[in-house]
Amino acid sequence: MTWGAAGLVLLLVGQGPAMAEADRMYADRRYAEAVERYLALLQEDPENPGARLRLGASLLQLGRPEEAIPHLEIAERVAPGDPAILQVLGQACLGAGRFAAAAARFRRLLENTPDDPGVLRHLGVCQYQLGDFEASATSFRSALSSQPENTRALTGLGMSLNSLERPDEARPVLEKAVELAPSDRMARLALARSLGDLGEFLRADELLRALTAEGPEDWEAWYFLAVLRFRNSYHEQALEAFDRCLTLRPGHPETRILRFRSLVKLGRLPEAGAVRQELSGDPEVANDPEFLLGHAEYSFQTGDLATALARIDEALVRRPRSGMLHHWKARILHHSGETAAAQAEAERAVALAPDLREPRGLLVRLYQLQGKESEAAAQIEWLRTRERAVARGSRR
Amino acid sequence: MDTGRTSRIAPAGLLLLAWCPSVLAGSILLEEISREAGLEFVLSNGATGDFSQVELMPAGIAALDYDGDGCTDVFFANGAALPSLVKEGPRFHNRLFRNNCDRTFTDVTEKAGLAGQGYSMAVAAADYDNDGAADLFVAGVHASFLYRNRGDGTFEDVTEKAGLAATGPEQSRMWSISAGWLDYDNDGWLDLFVSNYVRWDAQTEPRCGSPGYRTYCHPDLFPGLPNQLFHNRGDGTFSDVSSASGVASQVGKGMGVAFADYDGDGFTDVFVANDSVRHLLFANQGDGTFVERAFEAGVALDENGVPIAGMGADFRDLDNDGRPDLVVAGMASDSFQLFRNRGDERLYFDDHTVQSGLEVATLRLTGWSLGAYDLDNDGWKDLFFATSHFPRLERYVGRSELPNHVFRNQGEARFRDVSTEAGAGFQVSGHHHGAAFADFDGDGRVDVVVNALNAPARLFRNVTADAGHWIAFALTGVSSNRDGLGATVRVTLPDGRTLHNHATTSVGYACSSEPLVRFGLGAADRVEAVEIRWPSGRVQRLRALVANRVVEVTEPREDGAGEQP
Repeated sequence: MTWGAAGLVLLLVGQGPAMAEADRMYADRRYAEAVERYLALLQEDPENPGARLRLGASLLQLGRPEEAIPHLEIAERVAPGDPAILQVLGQACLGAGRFAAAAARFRRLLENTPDDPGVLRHLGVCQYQLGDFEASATSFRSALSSQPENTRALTGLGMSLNSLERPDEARPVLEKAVELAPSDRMARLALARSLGDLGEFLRADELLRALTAEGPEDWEAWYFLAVLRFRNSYHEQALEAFDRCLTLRPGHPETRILRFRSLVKLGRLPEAGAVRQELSGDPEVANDPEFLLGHAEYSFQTGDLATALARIDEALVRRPRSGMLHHWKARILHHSGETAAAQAEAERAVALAPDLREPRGLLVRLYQLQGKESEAAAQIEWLRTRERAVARGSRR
Repeated sequence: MDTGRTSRIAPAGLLLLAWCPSVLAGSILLEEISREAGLEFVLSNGATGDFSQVELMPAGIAALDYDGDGCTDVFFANGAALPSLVKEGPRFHNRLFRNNCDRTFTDVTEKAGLAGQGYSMAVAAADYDNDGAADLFVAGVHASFLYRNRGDGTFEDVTEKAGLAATGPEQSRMWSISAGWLDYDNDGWLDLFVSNYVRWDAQTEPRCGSPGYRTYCHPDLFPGLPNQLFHNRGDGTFSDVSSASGVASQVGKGMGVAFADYDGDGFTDVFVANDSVRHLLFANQGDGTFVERAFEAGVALDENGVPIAGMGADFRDLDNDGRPDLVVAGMASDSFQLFRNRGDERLYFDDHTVQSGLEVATLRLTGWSLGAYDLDNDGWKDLFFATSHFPRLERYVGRSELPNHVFRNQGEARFRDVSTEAGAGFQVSGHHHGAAFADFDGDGRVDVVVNALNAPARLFRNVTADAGHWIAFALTGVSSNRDGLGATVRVTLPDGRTLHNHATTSVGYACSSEPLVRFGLGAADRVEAVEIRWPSGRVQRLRALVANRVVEVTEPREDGAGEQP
């Protein structure tokens, strides 16, 4: 999910007739002409922070944040701490994807106005993009304390919580966002994700269907829909959605990989085999752990356990702490008759991902095959406990 | 004794071929003949657009010879109006069709007195009172019924008299979905096992889906129920031993139930497929009690520790090693399961789904009833599944109506989907649920009757052109229960190979199939030896039997040959 740059409203105070004329153009949204005027002014007075600021803002409005940044940096050097410059520079950096630089400016702003909800939201966006979801959740929460119904802050908080794998907390936040802004695309996408993570497949599916119907070219909505279906094992329908994604964004690596995995899951092995060959030759995809897992699944289904094992080992080099990959390795080893090695891998998977039931289910068998009854009993007890929790409805 | 039924003799050249499925690799052909046969029945589920869970689940079929004429008849359980659960008119009546022994059937429901009451789900047929006539237990939503066959073409509702009427609020809330007859204590009288699904109440049933797309709820939203076991006292009455036997100690969401002696201890064990929670395997301790050992035996979950939405089940030896294996149907995205019995008490069952070829081949299917029968008589049991998705699942799986599916055993429990080769009539789609198995036309090839929600039932006559030789055993117990249910039969072919099967009517989902013990013999036109282990513990040995006939066998008074048929 991507964040757009927020609109800019500058408090314009002209300095002389030339500056006033340029500002009028800016106010009239004639940004290209404004740029020319500000550049002309800067020919005469290169250090003029006001002109640099206005030039940067105009470029930002024209969707050219990278060009805006050098001008704004000059302005910042000349007038350090100026809130308007920090604000616009922060937004330019945000627009250019320089999230750490943007965050630094927003933090500076917050030193003086710690409760500014707009700045908090912008900081939250930067933190989210930098992958610091705890921090972004905190920033969005702070923004909401003064603007509890701000849908952008609600959406940001929901997205942060989704990324923190706390969909149960994200869901009510995002439901509120959607209630306040029923057509907010990003809020609906984020809500669909929480619902999907909570096992509410039908509602998630419906939200995403509506988004794809409203925006048939909305690649992101199609992708979310495809992934939701893939994760819920509706592979036939996932495949259709992945195909749609690829018409909208040809060559998208994740889509191609998951489409391949759908083909394997559907047992369309000859077709999957052809796709596998094509993807194996694409350096952008060939070493992706997700593709390697798909390749292993394909080889497993075609009975080529040696290749399946080799691919899983390659995937593990890249993602050594993946419980699911270790489980797959254990499964392949089990089918290869290597019970002890399979046990070791399954135990590794449990250690890395204690909530994953797959390796525990396999471990029961592996222990039993070796007469390790007490070890098997411990795993059985875990599976029973989980089943009781599901029966009580905790999964929902 | 030869019953004189039609025998099919294979072409002479076939006899020279080795006993190998690849040699007899012709297509299994199933011809749909319900209309010509006069088997006209529509299963009415009473759906009103309220997406009641009940309407998703019916209903059972029984293949039984109720009039003892040697030709297998058909009983259909039927739904009722919702939410009243009342059979408001003939369209909801259960139906009994008499086989006229000429490939046609006559509706004899009224004369037999079997129109029934309530919302019927399942049927279990067997001779519980050892009088030589097949009786019927019809399980349903909040009420089940036992019909005793009077032997004159009519049935008597003996539910109350037998002690099977609901005796309290708990029982009256049972939603029974499958049932089966077994002699769990080998006392010569058939006992009744009832598989119960979930607690359901029309008034409080949750509504699911979204305002824009209502649909059926996931079973997670309903509390599960324990199963029930009723001990046959031998005097026409039953005692509820659900708690005393240990059966009631486990709460599941019971679907199909299947019986076999998986551990070879001489006592019949019980497998219950469950919907979205782990399956149950009740290991018979031989002292009137059961211990639930699905986890320990390796059949609770799939290889990955994941429960499936289990549907029907059959407990048969699929790889001819003498040990009953398990096949379980599931829902789309589950894959059906095949558990192979290893005969090792450390871990009895391997999850053989991947190796069997079923994992990928069934991932897109939802299966209901099923049966493991050697449809081409090549010596390996094949698999038939009644298949269809839930209505309303179209959005996610394409069409919810599906053709049924048949998988040919290529040897050693490796299966190939041969559905598309099974004939044009077999490709008909529907919301197929029940399936019962019998050789309705007496030609030695197992036929299948299938029902479908709100659509005509299908009768698939097996017309496989190059089917092998066969033999079937109609057992009559003396010390054992009269139907011989639970008896295991091993036949030895001239080349020394052995085949195994056992007597049960509890096959698939909510259904009941013929009690005969059948074998496809491939190219062999005789069997060298037969060993029958009766539930009483007696072992009977027969020699040199000619193929292509039903052999009637009566349990001997003592171990040994008994009367050579």
